[in-house]
Amino acid sequence: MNRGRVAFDLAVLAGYLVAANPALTGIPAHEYVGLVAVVVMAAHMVASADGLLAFRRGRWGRAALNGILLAALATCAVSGVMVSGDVLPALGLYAAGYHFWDPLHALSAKVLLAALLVHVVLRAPMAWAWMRRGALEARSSQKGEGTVLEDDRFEVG
Amino acid sequence: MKKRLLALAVLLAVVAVVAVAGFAAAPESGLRPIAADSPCPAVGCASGACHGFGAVPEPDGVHEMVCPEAGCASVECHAWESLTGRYHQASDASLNMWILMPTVLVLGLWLLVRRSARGGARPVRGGAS
Repeated sequence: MNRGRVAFDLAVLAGYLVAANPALTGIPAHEYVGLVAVVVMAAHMVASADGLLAFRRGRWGRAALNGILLAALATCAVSGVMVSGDVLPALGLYAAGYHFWDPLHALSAKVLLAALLVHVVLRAPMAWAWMRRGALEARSSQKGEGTVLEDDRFEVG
Repeated sequence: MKKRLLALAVLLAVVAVVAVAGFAAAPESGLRPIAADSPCPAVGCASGACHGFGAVPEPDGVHEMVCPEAGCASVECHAWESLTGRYHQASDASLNMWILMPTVLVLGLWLLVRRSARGGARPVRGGAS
């Protein structure tokens, strides 16, 4: 975990926030930005592979939350493709079963939002600590001092 | 590296399971090429004038939208506004009430309890979070 990783994670969150507000962006932008956001969030999940294996460290609550996030994202992505009114037609395709996939898309998006809220609240202290550590190190190196860190919240995964 | 490959495999497997389960639950759904007479996926209208939800055409007496609730295609439909304005969106209010609000409530209570329990004592590591 390093500052670059924290910056990437924040960018992932920002991408999600843009993609998850079609009322602000409009449907066409929502579909295209959503596709990019899914890929970026999947990259985040792969980079944070330890989170999926949290049950091996006895952290069943964390593992369950990560599982919900994974299932909600997958469902939202698949159902989103199936109700697409811009991306699919651009490829010369359309999808039937709209009245099955659209409620599923709305439901999975809401579950994803709720789970993400919990995920961000749980991870925010660590991200903040890492960013502070980076600032402390930068200040210490400027003063020519060694850095003594007593913050023990640097957990991985 | 092995963990990441495993995570990628799990991710793709979940996507595949969701797709298979969805198509099993709704066998009539699927991707099809757009043809000249392809009906609108939402309301079944085959008018060539519609280019998306924002361009729903007025009834022309030939190609009509079909109400997904009642199957009626009457131009006298009293729910025309809903059909053109809302059927591409699920109700947000009930999703907010039943999913988001309980999550925010539980999260808020958990944070409150954690802050008040701290009072000088550090939380036990490896706990519920």
